[in-house]
Amino acid sequence: MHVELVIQLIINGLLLGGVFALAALGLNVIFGVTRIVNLAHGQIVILTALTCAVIFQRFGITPIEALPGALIGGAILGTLIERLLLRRLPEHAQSREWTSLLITFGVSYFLVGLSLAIFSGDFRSVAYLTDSWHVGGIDFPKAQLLAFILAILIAGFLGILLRSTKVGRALRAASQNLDGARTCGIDIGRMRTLSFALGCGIAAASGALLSMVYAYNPDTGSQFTLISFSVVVLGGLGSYAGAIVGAGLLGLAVSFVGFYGNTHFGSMMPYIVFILVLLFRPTGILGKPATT
Amino acid sequence: MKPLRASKGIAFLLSTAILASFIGASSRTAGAADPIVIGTTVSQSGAYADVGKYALEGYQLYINQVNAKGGWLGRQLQLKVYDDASDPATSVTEYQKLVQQDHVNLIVGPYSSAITAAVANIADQYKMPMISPEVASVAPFKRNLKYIFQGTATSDRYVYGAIQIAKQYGYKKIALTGEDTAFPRSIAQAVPDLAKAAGLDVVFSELYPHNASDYTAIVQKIKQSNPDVVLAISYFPDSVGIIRALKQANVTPKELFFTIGPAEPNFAKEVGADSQGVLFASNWSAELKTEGNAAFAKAFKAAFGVESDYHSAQNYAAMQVLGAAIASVKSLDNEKIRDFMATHEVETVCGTYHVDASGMQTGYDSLTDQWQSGKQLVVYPSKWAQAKLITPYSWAK
Repeated sequence: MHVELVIQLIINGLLLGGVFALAALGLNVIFGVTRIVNLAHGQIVILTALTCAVIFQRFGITPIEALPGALIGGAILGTLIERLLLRRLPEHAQSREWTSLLITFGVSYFLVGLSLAIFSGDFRSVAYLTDSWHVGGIDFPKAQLLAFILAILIAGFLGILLRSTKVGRALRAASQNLDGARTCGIDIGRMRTLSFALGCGIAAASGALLSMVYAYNPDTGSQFTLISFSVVVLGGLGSYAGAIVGAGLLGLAVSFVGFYGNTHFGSMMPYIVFILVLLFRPTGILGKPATT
Repeated sequence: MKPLRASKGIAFLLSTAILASFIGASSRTAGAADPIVIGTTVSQSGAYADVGKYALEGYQLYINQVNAKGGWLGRQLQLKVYDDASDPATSVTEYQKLVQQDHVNLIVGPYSSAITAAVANIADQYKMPMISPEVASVAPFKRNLKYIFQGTATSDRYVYGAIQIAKQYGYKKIALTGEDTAFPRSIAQAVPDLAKAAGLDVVFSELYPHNASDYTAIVQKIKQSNPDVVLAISYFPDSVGIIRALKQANVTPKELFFTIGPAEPNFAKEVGADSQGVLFASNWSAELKTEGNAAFAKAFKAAFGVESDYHSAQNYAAMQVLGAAIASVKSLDNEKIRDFMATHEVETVCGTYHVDASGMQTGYDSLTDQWQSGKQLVVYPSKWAQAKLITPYSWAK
């Protein structure tokens, strides 16, 4: 019985980690290339989740079926944010963290207002894949398991894209050395747009999957930004494998501390770990020192 | 040519409308009395935005109805609302603004126990009576305040039905959880005594923080305690989180009760089949045979296109009490209105309004409802029951 319980807590922790990782990946992509922390990240997750809930209830389209649409919609939104707002900054300000922080902060409030206007303050959720597979006395919640698998797939896909393709290498070059990349003929503007499209697309895809896990209204977005940010810092900003490992650790911490301690301490874990990492290992678990 | 004509038409309509509004404005300033302005804050954004909307609609419906019949004391009513963003400190500032800058004639309570607890003292400070329809917590009434009145059933009544049902069916073990904020906490504190009086054991008890991101840990603990009854004092998102986690962990309580979340009309839509058999507290039902209730339920549906929930009904009832006070004292004298509210009984859609010396509600009762095939039906007390209780809870079968 006790062994079973511990295994269950590990599974719960890892699957929760999968949810955290999925939410965090989009944030990480954008940071990795542009050094911009997209504070509107959580709102994009929620906007998509709300949309998925509505189309599920109206038309019976499941979030899984809506996934490609979410990805594309998010990518378009990301492109617009980069082209219409961040691009307008003078180039020397584009890479400064605080100017872009203020803009994405503004966008986040715009998106909250927009979501409230479209969807009202009502909480929504998608009642699909809400049960578990029970294998040998252990429960595997379906929606969380799916989120976990997708998080790993997306991270793997990103790793391959960035390491082994020409576009990916150009993206990485742009993040490491602006002038050097430009000298090599890389279109920096396009790379920035691409990273925003990719990051927001992934954020939206995660919103589609998380729509089955949580209940949310337009105001819950900032929670996702916070959790995602902790995951990304823990794993190392810009490191995809790190984000997955970091998210897994956070999930385990929340699960075990929540069970053997109490839920209050469990909920504090992401932030406690966040501060500890900043103090003792500021580059994160698998992160390399940031290059500028 | 056609588009031009259309735009000319629009321009004509617009200018007429503007002209009409001028005439309206000038006639107001010239002769007829100024409107009676009633100030309040409601959570239109933030964590309570969903319920805040229902609360506001209750106020609005009453005011529209009274205005259509000529208002109070021959004056139209106007609701001055600020969005408190679900934040007590914001609400405090806004009530001060309502009284000091906007010079409202009357004030009524905001949404939620936590926010009312923060603004209760303002009523006393400015000597303006505040009937507060959304404060089930009894804490603000232990401060010796004279101007705050409770317009809802007290918090311990919310769980009374759930515990009586458990007793009736011979259930023994209760697992108690809920959100660690003012209102759920005040209910949770009432549970052990109520359970003991009914011969039940509270085998597990732990609250979780507001905006918790994970319920699997607490549900694992509930599972270990192997309860007959799961009693969660929860709002909407946590009710959904807990119900999902219970199902995923294969926890099978015979009775599943959430205080507040499932009272929202869209609960079954968001939760699907798992809503079947869920019990919850409600302070009002369209079926209550209280004075004017059927007409209220019908008017609400006509005005907003959805069924009223208990929040809207409570806010409507609060306005009924204020209306009765003004009809009785025939003025806007806040001192006289206070005395009326403190001493009189008023028949409302929620039942007979009556408060004790501390301003705490003693007249209203709380009902226990159950989701049955996508409908919210009263199952306790039997006096008001619309349907027989379904038991045990759906996945425990």
